[in-house]
Amino acid sequence: MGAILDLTDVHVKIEQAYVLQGVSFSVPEGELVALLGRNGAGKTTTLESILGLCPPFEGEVEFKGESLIGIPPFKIAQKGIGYSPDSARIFSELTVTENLKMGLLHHDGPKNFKAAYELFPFLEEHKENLGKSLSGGEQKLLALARAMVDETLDLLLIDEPTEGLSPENTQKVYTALEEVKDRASILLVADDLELAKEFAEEYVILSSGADQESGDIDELIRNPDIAEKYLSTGVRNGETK
Amino acid sequence: MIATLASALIDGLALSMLYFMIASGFSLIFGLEGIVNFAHGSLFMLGAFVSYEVVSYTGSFYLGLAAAGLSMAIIGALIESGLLRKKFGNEMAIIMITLGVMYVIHHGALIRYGAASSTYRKIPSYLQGTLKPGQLILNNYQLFIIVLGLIIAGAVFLFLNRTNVGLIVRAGIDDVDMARALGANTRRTFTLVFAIGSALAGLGGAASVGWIYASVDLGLSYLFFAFAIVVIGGLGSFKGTFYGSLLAGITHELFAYFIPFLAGPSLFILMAAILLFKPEGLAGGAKQ
Repeated sequence: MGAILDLTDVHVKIEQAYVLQGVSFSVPEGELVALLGRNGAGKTTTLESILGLCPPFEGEVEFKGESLIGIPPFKIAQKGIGYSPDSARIFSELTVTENLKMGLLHHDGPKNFKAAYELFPFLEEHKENLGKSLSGGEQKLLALARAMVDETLDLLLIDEPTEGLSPENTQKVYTALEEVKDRASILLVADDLELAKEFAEEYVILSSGADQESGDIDELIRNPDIAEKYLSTGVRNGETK
Repeated sequence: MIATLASALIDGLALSMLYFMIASGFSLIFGLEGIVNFAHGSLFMLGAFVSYEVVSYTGSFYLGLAAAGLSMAIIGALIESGLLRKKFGNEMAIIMITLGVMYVIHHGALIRYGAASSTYRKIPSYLQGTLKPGQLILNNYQLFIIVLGLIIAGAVFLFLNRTNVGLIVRAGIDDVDMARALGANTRRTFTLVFAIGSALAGLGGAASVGWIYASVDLGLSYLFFAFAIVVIGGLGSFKGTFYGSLLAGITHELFAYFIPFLAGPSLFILMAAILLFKPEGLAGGAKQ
């Protein structure tokens, strides 16, 4: 199957910091690719460069064969890309329902949150509450639900969805990824190697703003030296410590 | 005493609504776009003169109001799309541009009208005179300003809370980049909000002429009022701006009636007190 997303030699500077220094990888259509790396490797910036929030000054980003360079972020999103950021970034002064509506801005037809409420029942219980009234973990789940609520999206960019979550909420993320994986391609920044091993078909490791390793996820599981070298997770025999 | 207090409250409510009409637009523009629009007071002043001209020429009070609101909406949209849009992110450039626009409008008005104030009395007969329920004496025109202000507040509230564009505006005040990343066309929304904010300033200016006067000095005075009220209410908060306007207007008139020498600085005393005890403003402020 062809690639839905292609990054070729992407370079990004944020103010004076040279954050991405030639990132290249693809997300095959219908697959989940895990983007791995230590803190500061450029994982979040990679997602933001795809969305046009940190536009590359060099390189190419193609979505379904069409270049995204020079296109404003709202038009990139309207092409069918959803985004769940690592720090949640929910709209604190909007209600839970209004936050979900923001995920359906360019969706024609009736706004239906049934799927989101089924995955995360607490959202329905708090649907009239302001986003800021939710706990940190709940806000993170709301951000994920907001990215997933439009079932017509072709690609989801999901940034560290389980970071800082309780085991119970982490399980909810697993359930949600299981559900959404069947209908969209996903680029997942994984803070947790277990998450990547559970869902990803392929992986890309960033280090110092460039892709260093990539391939089949089974390869990463079979070869713990890769994770040891770039992720410092101490992976041995497929286990993390 | 009660009649005096009631009169002070009615005067205060009317003044609150004028404050609200200028401060709400100022607050929305700041909240969404992060722009301190130094030309905002000048649009209030220009709205007053547009209304003055239209009423003088046509004799129609309501045409004057509509012309002031509409013309300021167009001017606001042109300022945003023609002068500011390409400079977003460059705060110094934005400040210089809005100061420049303020300067041009101020001096243009000075050349056209001079430093003396102008006023008109071509307001509908039913808005002239007073009502006298019991011992109270209520100025019809002030009641009109109160009703106009409440209608505008209700309309803006409905726009913000019941429409998709309003949802984008409120989301953008929270986190404009995230709104963009979800597909919100914030460029178009910026222009619309600038136009609406400018129209509100123009309407406020037009409404003030039948009560106060049209004067070139209005621009700078009301810019300071708007700034103080936005700080009192909470930066970027529409509700906060409404409450802040009420508090500021009523406080001013209570001082004017009972401790007149404090009426002038009352708004800034109030702002200092709020900054001291509730620095995030009355409504907490959507944008801290």
